[in-house]
Amino acid sequence: MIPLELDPPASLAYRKLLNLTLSPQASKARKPYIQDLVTECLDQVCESGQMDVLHDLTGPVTATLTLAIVGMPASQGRRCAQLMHDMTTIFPGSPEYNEIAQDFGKLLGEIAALVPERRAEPRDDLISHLATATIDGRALSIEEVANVCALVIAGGVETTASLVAHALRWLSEHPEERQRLINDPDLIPSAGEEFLRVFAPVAGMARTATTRTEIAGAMLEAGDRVFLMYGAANLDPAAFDEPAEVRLDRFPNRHVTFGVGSHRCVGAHLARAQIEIILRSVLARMPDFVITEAEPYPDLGMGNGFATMKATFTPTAGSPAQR
Amino acid sequence: MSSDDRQASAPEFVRVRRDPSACYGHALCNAQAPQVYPIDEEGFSTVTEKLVPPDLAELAKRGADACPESAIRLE
Repeated sequence: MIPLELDPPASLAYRKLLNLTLSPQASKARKPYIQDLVTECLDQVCESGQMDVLHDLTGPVTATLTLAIVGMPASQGRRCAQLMHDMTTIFPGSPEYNEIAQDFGKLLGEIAALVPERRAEPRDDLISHLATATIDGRALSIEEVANVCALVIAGGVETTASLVAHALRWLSEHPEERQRLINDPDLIPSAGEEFLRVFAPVAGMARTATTRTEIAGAMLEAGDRVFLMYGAANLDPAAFDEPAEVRLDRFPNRHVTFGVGSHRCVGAHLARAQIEIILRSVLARMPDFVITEAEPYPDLGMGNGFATMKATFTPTAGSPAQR
Repeated sequence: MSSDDRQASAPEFVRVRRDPSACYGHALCNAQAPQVYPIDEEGFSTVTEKLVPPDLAELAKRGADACPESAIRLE
C-alpha cells in the first residue's frame, strides 16, 4: 500500500504531502483543537463518575482528530472510532468482520466522493492537499487519494487510543507514580515517551531487505522479508538501562515505537500531542480514577491494546461552558 | 562519549554536527533543545554544523542524545 512500503525517493513526494498536515508545527497548531475534543469528551462523563475509556475518550478523540486532518466532519468521529476498534478486535474472515470491512469501504467511499469538490475548492486538509497535488507530473486518482487517507486513518486512530489506554491503566496501578505526574505535569511528555516504549501499540512491521546484510549474526539477502519487532527492540538491554522498569523520566529514550528511518510514523508528532493532552486533562480532572476493567485484545500478535476498558472516579462538575 | 561528557560539564563551546543523510526528521532534538536545533516545516533540523556556547552545551547534548538515528554528534 502506498506509501507504506514505497522507498525514497518515490515515497518522499507522498511524505511531503502528509507533512503539510502532520509536521511538528502543524501538530502544535492542532493542540487547542485536541484540548477542545478532550474537554468535550470528559465533560460528558465527569458528572457520572464512570467512563468507558475507549468509547468515551480515547477513540472519539483520536478518530475525530484524524478525520479533521483528513477533511471529514467531526460528526463521523465516533463512528470511525468504533470501526477502527472493531477492525482490530474482531477476527478477519468472520461474518462480523466482513460487515465492518464493508462499513470501512463505505467511509472510504465518502472520502472519495469529496475529492472532486476539494479539487475545485481546496481547504487545508489532507483530501485537498492530495487532490490538488501532482506526483511525477500527474494528479492522483480519486482512489489513490482515498487509499492514502485510509492509511492515515488506520495509522492514527486505534494506535494512539491503545497507547493512552495502556498509560491510564498503568497509572491506575501505580498511584505513587501517578501522584508524581500530578505534582509535576512537566514530566508528562517524558512519561509519554516511556509509555510509548513499553506499550508499543504496533508490535512490529514487515519490511523487505534492500541489500545483503548481517544482523546479530543472521545473514539477510536482498529481497528477504523481515518482521521488525518494535516492542522487542524497546526492551533491548543493550539499548536501555533496566528495560523492564517503567521510568517516567527515562532519558535518553530512543525507542523505536514509531519505527526508524524513512518510514518512521509520519503522525508521531500528532500522537505525542494527543498523549500529552489526554493524560494532562485526565490527571487534572479525575486524579483518583481507577481502571476497574481492562480486557486486552483477543489476539496480541500485531496490535497491543484493549477490547474494553472501564474507569471510575470521584464525580466532578463539567467545564464552565457545559454547566 | 567521554569527551562529550567532559565538554558538557566544562564551560566550553561545543561543535554540533548533524549528518543529513542519517536524519529522518523525528524532530526530537528540537523537542529537547529548540534554541540549538531549529527545524524546517517538515521537522528536519536546519543545523548541519554549528558552534554552541557553553550555556547551551548541556541542552545541545540532550538534543543529540534524543536522536533515534544518532544523526547528531558533539565535538
